[in-house]
Amino acid sequence: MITDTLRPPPLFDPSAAAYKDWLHLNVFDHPSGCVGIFNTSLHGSPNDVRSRAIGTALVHEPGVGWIGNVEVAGIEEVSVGTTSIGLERVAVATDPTPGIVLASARLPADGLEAGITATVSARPVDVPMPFPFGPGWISWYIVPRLSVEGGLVLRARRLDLSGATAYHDHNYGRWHWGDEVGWEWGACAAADAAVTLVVVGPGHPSVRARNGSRSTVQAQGHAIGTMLLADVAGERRSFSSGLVHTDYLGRLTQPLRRLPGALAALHQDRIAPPLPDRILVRASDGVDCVEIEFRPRAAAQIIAADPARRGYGFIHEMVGRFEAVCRIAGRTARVDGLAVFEYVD
Amino acid sequence: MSTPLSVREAPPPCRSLGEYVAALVSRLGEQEPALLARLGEVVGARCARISLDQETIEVRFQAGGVVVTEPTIGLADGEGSTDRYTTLDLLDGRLEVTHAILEGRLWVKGEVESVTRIFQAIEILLDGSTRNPELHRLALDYGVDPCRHARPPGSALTAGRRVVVDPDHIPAGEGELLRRLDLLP
Repeated sequence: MITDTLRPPPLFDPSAAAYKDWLHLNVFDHPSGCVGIFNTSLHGSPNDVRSRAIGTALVHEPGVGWIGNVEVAGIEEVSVGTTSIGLERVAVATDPTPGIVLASARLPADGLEAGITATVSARPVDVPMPFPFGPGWISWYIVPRLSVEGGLVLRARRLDLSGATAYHDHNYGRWHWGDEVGWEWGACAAADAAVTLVVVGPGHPSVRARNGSRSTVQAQGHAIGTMLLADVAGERRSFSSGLVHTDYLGRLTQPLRRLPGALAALHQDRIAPPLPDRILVRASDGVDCVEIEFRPRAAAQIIAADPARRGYGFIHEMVGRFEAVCRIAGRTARVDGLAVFEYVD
Repeated sequence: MSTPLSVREAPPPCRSLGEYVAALVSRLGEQEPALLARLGEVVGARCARISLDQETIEVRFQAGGVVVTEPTIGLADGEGSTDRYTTLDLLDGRLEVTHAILEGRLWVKGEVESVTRIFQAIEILLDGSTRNPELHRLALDYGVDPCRHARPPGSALTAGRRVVVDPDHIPAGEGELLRRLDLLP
């Protein structure tokens, strides 16, 4: 069951121009190694014709590269429901009962079609309180693991997703792109075990260093560190800020797929951001412990423009494989699989 | 909060290159007159010659608006030429500007200051388009203009097809570009 809906601003909300709402689904197809990123989002007041919706449908196929694209539409051209955002070519929706997430994409010119039904298979995590986020706030709802039915068409080749798992989240809040905000996030899905590891934190340190005070998630006046949620065969542990240590090593030299193209052309200075080629995450509370090593194989940069005032956000999606050792409740599990790490500044 | 999904029912009108340029500037001015004024300040009295496939126009700013004319014999302050597939690849994020220049798919000529100002003008238009639905719609129209070639089939991007701009890395095509332009020492 999914107890979650979109959170549009109420009438006369003075912060409506900073409204953000998005539905996200990552699909990890373990047999093929393909990783899919499906996202639909709303940016700006629903009553402002300048407001936009962005639909992202990208699949990274090993040995081939990124397939798919980003669709941008005016807010008036989008179908928005209580739990759905549908653009003309990309849509994501949730059905609270029985608890499914649906994603579809029709991008034949970009070689991608998708029809995915993902069913909740791990307890959701609801963080409804508004976390201070730059001058605004952010909240989220996470389903760490879902089973998958459906398939993809990748450049005219059909790929059945019965061996895939998925991750879903819904983020919402108030901020403008270009504000002093940023985050890091990662979802690791084990191939042959019911293990999902979710990492959430304040941003890539090299990005933080470059941008000075940017890229901080702040709570009660204090910058918070990286947090980790481990869901290991039904056992769940949360490691809070201070218990999680992250190392970023090397530099990813793979060129990025940057979208939408017009904004990529505008931001030539962002063509080669300092992304790592190896990430180590260690979390321990003295009893339980998780160690993750993630090696990205490719990255995409999605550029979000604020519709109400000049400002841009740069969302970096890194895909690859991970290995982890989880010591939870006296049991040790060694797992590996596919992962997505995201850095936003 | 439910709104109907808008699906394009009729194809957009056929537009010439000059009509697209004029529409770009006028739609920018309607929504953001301050940006239009900035555009005018950046380009001043300069004249740009723009070619897209077989079409060539000259563009200059005058009295707060853009004037599009047929090409003249006189020298323009800057020239740029490309083709439809390149513009579509750029809009679709299949091609970086750097790569287009290195491959000779986007060709720009002029004094450094004039070329810089023309690129500044393009940046103003791109930036303005993010807050201007009419400019966004014009880009969509261009993509499906019934009097122009259809989009080329999509292709996944691989490392060999892309250019990484890194201070420590010299792209393979850069030496060839400098040789072609007779700029090697």
